[in-house]
Amino acid sequence: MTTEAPVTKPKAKEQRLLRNARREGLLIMAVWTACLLWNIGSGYWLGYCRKSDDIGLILGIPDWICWSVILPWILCLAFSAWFCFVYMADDDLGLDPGEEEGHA
Amino acid sequence: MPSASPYILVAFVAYMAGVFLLGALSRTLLKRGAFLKEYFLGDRKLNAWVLGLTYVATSVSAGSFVGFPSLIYTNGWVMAFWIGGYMVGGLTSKGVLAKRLNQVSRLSGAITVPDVLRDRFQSPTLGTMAGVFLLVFLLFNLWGQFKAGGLIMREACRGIEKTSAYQSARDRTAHALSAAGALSESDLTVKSDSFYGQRYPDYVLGVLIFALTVVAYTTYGGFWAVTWTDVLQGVIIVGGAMLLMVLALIKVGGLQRATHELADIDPNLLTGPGPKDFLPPGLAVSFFMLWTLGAMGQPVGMVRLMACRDTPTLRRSLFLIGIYYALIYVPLVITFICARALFPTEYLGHSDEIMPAMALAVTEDFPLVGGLILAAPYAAAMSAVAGFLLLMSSSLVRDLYQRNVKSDVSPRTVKLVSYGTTAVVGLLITFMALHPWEYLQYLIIFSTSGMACTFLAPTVMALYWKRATRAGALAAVLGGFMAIFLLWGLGWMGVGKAESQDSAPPETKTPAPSPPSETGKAATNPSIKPLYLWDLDPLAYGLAVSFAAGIGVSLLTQPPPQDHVNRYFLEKEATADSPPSGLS
Repeated sequence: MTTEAPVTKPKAKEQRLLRNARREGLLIMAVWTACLLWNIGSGYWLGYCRKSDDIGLILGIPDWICWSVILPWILCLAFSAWFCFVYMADDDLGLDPGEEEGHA
Repeated sequence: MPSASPYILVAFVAYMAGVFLLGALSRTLLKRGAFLKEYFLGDRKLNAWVLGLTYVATSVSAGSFVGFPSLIYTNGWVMAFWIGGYMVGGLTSKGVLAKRLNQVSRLSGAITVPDVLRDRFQSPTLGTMAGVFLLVFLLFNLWGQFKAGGLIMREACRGIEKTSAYQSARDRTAHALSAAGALSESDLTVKSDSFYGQRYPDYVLGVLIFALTVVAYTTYGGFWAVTWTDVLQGVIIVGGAMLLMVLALIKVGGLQRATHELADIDPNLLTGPGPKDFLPPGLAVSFFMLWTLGAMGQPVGMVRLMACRDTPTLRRSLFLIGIYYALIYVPLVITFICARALFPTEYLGHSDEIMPAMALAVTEDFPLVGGLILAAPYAAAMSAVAGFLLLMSSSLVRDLYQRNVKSDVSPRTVKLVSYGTTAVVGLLITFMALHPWEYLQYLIIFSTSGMACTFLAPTVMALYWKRATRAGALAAVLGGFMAIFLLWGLGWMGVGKAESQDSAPPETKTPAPSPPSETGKAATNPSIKPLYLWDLDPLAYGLAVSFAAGIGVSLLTQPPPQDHVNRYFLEKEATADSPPSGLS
């Protein structure tokens, strides 16, 4: 004798957009932390702990500014390009209440 | 100050004509769709270029073009370190919240940030409180922006000061001020450096022109007017900053030479923490947080994220914002390093004037270009004011009136109330700006950190944490608000000033205004600074208190109703439908 398995409601799934947004947000905050540590750490070490006579110039910019601000800034822009055009997912943002599908 | 030419005003008038044309065109867009969503949110139809430019134009305010150059001129290369947070500012301020905030606001039909919090936490009290706190901080910010607008317009009009039309307008203004008791005859005749002296009527005229233009086009065209003029202003801001840098480098003979000049003036201009211990490491950390986390918590930026059309638009604009920031702030640093080399001591006592002075100095032979460059800071002030003005009126109309006083209101009444509040708020700030606060940059930092500490934690909790409760969100809003007011209030009362006087934070002293009762005497009270505990800005403490209070109180209170949470966190087919709040 066989018995029919009870019908169970499938477990509710977290929204895809939420999962993507959280994953992307966490990566951004990791990059933020790396930038903070690099910017403040290298800036303090190279710009606060040396005499002005020891500071060299790169294209007219004090070297400590180049290493602690300009270089990470360029790298951040490169990361932004990768993040925006490769990593970030396209998700459906949904509709306002009262709006119909295909009318957005 | 280098001599001014009437052509500068010609360039200004051309710029203003462009602003009004765009404002008028945007008006036609208001004729379709739900009025409130259209007027305050542009019907969520911003594309990537528009979103990027409007976001940047709104976040780059008078502080960036008047206060920041003044600080570079005074403190040298350490200001590049001070602004370093912008390397990741675009990503953090937009990338963390944008997608989810846009989705949640669509789910509930919210059109303002307090609206989002009210619906997500099912709390009218939270919505109202957030709306009121937002108004308080915006009032302080606009007060500073209007002052900057008035000062820039005063400088733009210097080229026509001798004309009879200008003299007539100035005399009438002076007469009206005298009749109102705001100015005495001696203030007008005795030459003094006081703000409330001979040039005060010129400043008042500048404020009136600035207010009339910005309030008019904001009221008339709503969000689309502000957005489209932001696009024009964004282009002028980026173009102006780049052009000024090139001209400054030519004038001074290259950056190498400028930096060597600075080393001769004062070696501290090349190293940290800068002259007079300007930027201790703790404050450098604070400012990195302000330009990134602080920017993330600004409701005026959040509203633009809610107005975005789709995620491809978000991705592209996110990248563009990073580029825009680099094209604005790096040229500004280079330009005003050159300015210090050109004017080693001339503007040290009144460094807020260095921006117009530099624009005039490098364009002496072609003043029309000078006018266009000078239009950049004016555009920055205008775009910030327009965005804030609209945010204030949306808060009054939507968060306080429609959702508390009368929800069942006809579209015609909503229109009238929206136009009316935008205009009335504009007028109120104009009157406040006639007696501005002495330190422009402090006003802007206070309101920026205040909004971040009040709104960031509850917004992050609303978007990403299922366990967040109504009581927790209320605690986050109240905790952040009170922490900021406490630390700034203690600073204003002079607590901790004796030991922190030398470790001065960014100080942008605008031509010294004092209360009307002290006419002729420049106010010199430095107690406007907040209390910097262990050299950290109040923003760090405000954010910590807000997040701690929000998380702690949420964990100590009952979890929110599952059905309501599911609607915001689970896929649609698996959740029970609950009625949306709807739009009018």
